[in-house]
Amino acid sequence: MHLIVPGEKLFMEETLKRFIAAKQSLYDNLKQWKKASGKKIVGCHPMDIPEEIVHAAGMLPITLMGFDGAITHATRSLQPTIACNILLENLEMCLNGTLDFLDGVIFADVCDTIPILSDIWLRHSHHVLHHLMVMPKHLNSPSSRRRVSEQFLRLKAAIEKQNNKKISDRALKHSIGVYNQNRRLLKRLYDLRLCKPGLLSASDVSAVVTAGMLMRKEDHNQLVEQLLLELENLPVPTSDMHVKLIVSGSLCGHCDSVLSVIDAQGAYILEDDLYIGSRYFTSLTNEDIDPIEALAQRYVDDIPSPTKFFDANAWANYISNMVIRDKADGIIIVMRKLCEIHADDFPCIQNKLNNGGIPCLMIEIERAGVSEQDKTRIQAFIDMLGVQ
Amino acid sequence: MTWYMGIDIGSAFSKGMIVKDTEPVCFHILRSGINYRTTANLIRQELLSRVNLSQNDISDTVATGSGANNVDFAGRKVSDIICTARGMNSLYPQVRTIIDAAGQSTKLILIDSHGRVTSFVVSEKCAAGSGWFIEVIANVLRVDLNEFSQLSRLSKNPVAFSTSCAVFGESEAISRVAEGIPKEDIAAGVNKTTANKISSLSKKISLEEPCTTCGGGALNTGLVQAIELELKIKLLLPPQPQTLSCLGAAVIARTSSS
Repeated sequence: MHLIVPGEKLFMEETLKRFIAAKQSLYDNLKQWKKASGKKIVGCHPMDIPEEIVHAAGMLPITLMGFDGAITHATRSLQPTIACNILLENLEMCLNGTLDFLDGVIFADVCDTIPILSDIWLRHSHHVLHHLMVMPKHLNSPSSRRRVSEQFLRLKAAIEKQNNKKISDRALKHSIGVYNQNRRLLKRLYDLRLCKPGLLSASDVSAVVTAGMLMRKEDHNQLVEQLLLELENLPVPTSDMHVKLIVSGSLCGHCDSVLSVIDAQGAYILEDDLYIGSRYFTSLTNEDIDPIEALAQRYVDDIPSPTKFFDANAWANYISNMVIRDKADGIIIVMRKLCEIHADDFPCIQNKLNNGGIPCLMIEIERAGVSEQDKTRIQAFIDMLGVQ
Repeated sequence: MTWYMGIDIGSAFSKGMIVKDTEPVCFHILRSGINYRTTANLIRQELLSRVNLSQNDISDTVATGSGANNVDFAGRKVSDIICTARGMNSLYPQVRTIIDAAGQSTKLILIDSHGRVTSFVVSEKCAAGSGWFIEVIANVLRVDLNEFSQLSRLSKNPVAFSTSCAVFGESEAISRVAEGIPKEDIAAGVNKTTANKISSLSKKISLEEPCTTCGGGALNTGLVQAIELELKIKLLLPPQPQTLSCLGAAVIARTSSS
């Protein structure tokens, strides 16, 4: 897992290859790391897991974000028909043995089907640590933050019991610092992309973020810093002729196939509002207060999310402001089929964008691939904003 | 004189057109087959031989369609929705809505007076409502698309299909054949189901008249009639409805060059 040899000079492409390799050889790398380090690995089902608590316990938290292979075990007879494919894919990996190397798994009930997934998982897996967090949905009540803190304390206690070792405040603060550093570095990368659109393809940026969800944050920080050093010295590519977009959505999983089509069309993504993107790292955690309180505060004060209800228009306003602030030509919203929390918010988002005269395209994806019809939609949308 | 070429590699058929200055000169249509690159080259050869030109005489070529990436000799690629809009606008500047009934999908395209796309919707990824669905049922009835279209117009009692899914629809058509239902009623039923699907798609967009239709589906007059009935509109029919996208590609090549 130590991907950078000290003093080694890498060119940007070589650095990028390491992110891509970390993403592609995910399980082999993790299994090797576990064998070599003797440490435990915990799978975090998206979204909203306070990974810092797992990290502070000396374990490696990784994000379970589905896979592209055939689903043969996690059939619809096991999962309700309303379950999205990310849930099916993660359950498949649990049932077919891919995730046997995990020592635990953590869920937050971000949608109605997660508790059901958690129950099925519990019956079929042998993971020693199995924890479901029941999070408050309405965060505009005075008790919300307290209830979030209680859930985080429950998680902390479950991990401590499992490891038979307390997690000290000092360790937790250290982990918060490591995660904040990661968020700052990724923010720098995003700021750089905004200033120099086209410097990195959307697929490359996605690989950078994905890799960080699957490796030690300390290693990822080192790798991102290396990449930033290389990128910051590169000249700004000419970008006037390219359509500039914002991409939003794809909660819980990646949408690499959509990003590849956008890249192939020559459009630039200025900023994103994707789960495997800015949604994962935007908010920092306060390092000066009680660590559990700080994590709860981050959860409550985080960027608008369909899993956290404050105001029906909050997410729509957030997305709309992003398009306006960045002077993007339009926005592509990627929605996972059967993602009820996203579907609930979409009409509000669509109205907001329509009323603001912001060109918007919604693409519904089922699994990793993108259909020919969706390719046509994306190409036509980009051409509509550009060549014509 | 300046010559431009537009090539549209679709999922079922591939089309090419040469435009001289502002006028379409010739077109050629082939089944796309399974090697789009070969098909694109065959279309180019045929077009060039018809006007007795070489590739060097062509100022610019634009490729479009799902197989556009296989057109190695094209200067660039543009989405077929944009090309169809430009092609239609060059023939009928007054048109505001295009119903493109293509092999793989159906598209409804809204355009302005300059042929710019203002909005569009595309059918879902299944074959429901596409030309492919009609082709599947025509195979069940052992007729070609031309005969299918004529049969459909003879029907007095179209069969009601319970599905627009091409797979289930094929089974249903076989059942109707087994029941002894006349071919014309099955053909008309399929056209009606397809028109229903297009009507459902039109709910996502505000149709503006004048409306027109193109794509291979526009050659099926039974389907055109069914769409007119379903949407309660009159459709303008271009002379070569399959070639609008390649015409638009050639027009874009010309506009970009000038």
